[in-house]
Amino acid sequence: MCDHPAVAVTVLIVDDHPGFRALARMVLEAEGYVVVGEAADGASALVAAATLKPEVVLVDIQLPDRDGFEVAWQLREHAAAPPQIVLISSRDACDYGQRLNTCGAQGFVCKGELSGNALAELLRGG
Amino acid sequence: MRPLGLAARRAWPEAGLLRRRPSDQHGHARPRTTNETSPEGALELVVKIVTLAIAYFITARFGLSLASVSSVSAVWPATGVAVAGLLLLGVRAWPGIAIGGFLAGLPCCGAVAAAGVTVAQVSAPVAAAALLKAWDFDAALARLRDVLALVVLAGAASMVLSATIGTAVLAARGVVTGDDWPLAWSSWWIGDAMGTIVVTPLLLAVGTAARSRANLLRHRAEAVVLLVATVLATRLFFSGGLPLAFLIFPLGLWAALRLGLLGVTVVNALVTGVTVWATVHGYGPFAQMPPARTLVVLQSFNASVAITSLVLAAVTEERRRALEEVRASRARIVEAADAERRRVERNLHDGAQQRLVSVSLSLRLAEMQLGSSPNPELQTTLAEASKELQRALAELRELARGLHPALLTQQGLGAAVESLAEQAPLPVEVVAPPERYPVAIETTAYFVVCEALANVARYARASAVTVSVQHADGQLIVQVADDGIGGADPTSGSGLRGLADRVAALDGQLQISSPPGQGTRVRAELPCS
Repeated sequence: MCDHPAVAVTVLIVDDHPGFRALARMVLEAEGYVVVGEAADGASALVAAATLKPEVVLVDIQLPDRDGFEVAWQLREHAAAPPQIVLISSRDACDYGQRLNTCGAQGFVCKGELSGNALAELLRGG
Repeated sequence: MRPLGLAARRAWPEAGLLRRRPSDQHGHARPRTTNETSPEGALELVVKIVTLAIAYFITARFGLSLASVSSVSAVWPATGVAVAGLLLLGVRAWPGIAIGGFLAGLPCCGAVAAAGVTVAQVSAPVAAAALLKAWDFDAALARLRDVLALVVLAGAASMVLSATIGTAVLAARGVVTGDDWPLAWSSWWIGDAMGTIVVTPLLLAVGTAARSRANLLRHRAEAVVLLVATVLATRLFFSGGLPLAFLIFPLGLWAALRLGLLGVTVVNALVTGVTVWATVHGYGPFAQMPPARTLVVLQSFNASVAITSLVLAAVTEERRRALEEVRASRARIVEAADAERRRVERNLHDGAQQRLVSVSLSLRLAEMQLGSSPNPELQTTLAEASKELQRALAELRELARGLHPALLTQQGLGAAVESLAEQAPLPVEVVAPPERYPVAIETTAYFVVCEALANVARYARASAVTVSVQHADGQLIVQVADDGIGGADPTSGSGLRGLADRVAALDGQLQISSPPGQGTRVRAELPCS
């Protein structure tokens, strides 16, 4: 069932909804990813990324302290080995316009369509 | 000739009779409340009294200089000055009337008669001011009720007092005999009432109606034409052989509709001045009547012109303010509706969409957990449920975007229009700056583009569309033009009508040009400083 190409890819999930983080963790782990941490806002995401050094960071665009675009930009700018960043939202990509392409993120996945396969496809495409 | 007199000394507790409001939205002057126990307050009161005394003296001498059509002056502008003075300066300025009146009347009547009649000349304006205060009178005369109060309470009712006291004094002095008394009384009453109806509004307009002054200045060329036309026409109608006096009415209506209170009061003053002058000098349709009739007919004519135009000016101003309020109210309704749409969109995003996302992930998890299950039907059911849920989520996102696009809130009109163009089923060229504009402007402009692009996709059979957003000369101009079949009917369907209403709520304009075979152009002009 789990035709995932990513084995032992480490992931940090950044979202302010604990319920979503828990489910996303279960889905990704069921498909072979290793979720190394969770963060509920942009500031703690930057700290967690620096500490845990995940290969992929899933960042919700609408965070309580700053938006996901800014987090993506800071992760790209300030990390020695920047992780691959995938933005997530319950809205559509077209609701965010060109900023998705210019913020330095690898791509975008609707939260409802999040799966290991979708993530792998996106990372391969990058 | 009208004798003048001295006023009884009495204190009045009020400083002014202008209607006072905490926030005056119409630019009306408001009298300052003065603590007259302080030296500054006492000095200010003295200045007001002296000012009123000088103004009353000058106008009283002018009234006396007019030739009489009976035993008293046909026109007594000093009463208009007195009423306006008390309204603008406060009732405590009444000694100014007494001083000015007594000094003006002294040379021709003697001290005793002048003193007696002054009681009449002071009491009527004071009564008028008191009645107007009780009526909650607004000196801006921008309401019908204020004009009617000025005419009925101040002009007609209060002046009964001056006519009665004044003619009684004249009778006591033997100037008026029993037979002359009705004519003297009516002449006095009409002269004072006309002074109140013609002169008081003029001074109130000069003293209070900032808006009226601005309106007159804005239309100054038209005002000059009207005033010159008024003088010439009045002179002409009162000197020719034909009884054309009624043709003066349109001039008053013109002033009322175009120039506001100040224009009306100037026209009324000119008409009254010219007609009285002409009649006194034997010109015009009223000059040939018996003296007792001349006064009544002449002043009835002038009162008709003045009251008609004052009423029309007030009603016009009331209508303008009502329209202004309706416009503001419509804009508030649109803004409230937009705010509500944004709130619903946020609630959908934060509530229902998040829950459905969780359900979607749970279903996916369940599918994975059933991966090795021997129950293929259950797997199929879960997969179908998952797909259905994805469709529901997509529809919900679409619905939320239709309510209010998050992109518009976050990144503005340019980005939102670009996004609309990307989703359109045909090539759309967008020229839109990234600047931000007020929320109401951005939202309206967005929905204009959204509706226009939807119409292009549905009906236009176009091969290309151009969307342009331009900010120039205090306006945001949004235009959507296609190369389709044209022939769109702006009156059919609710979409374009709704857009036109939305644009009009912001004082903008929506133009739709759609000649058959030549494409359609939708253009919205939104005031945006």
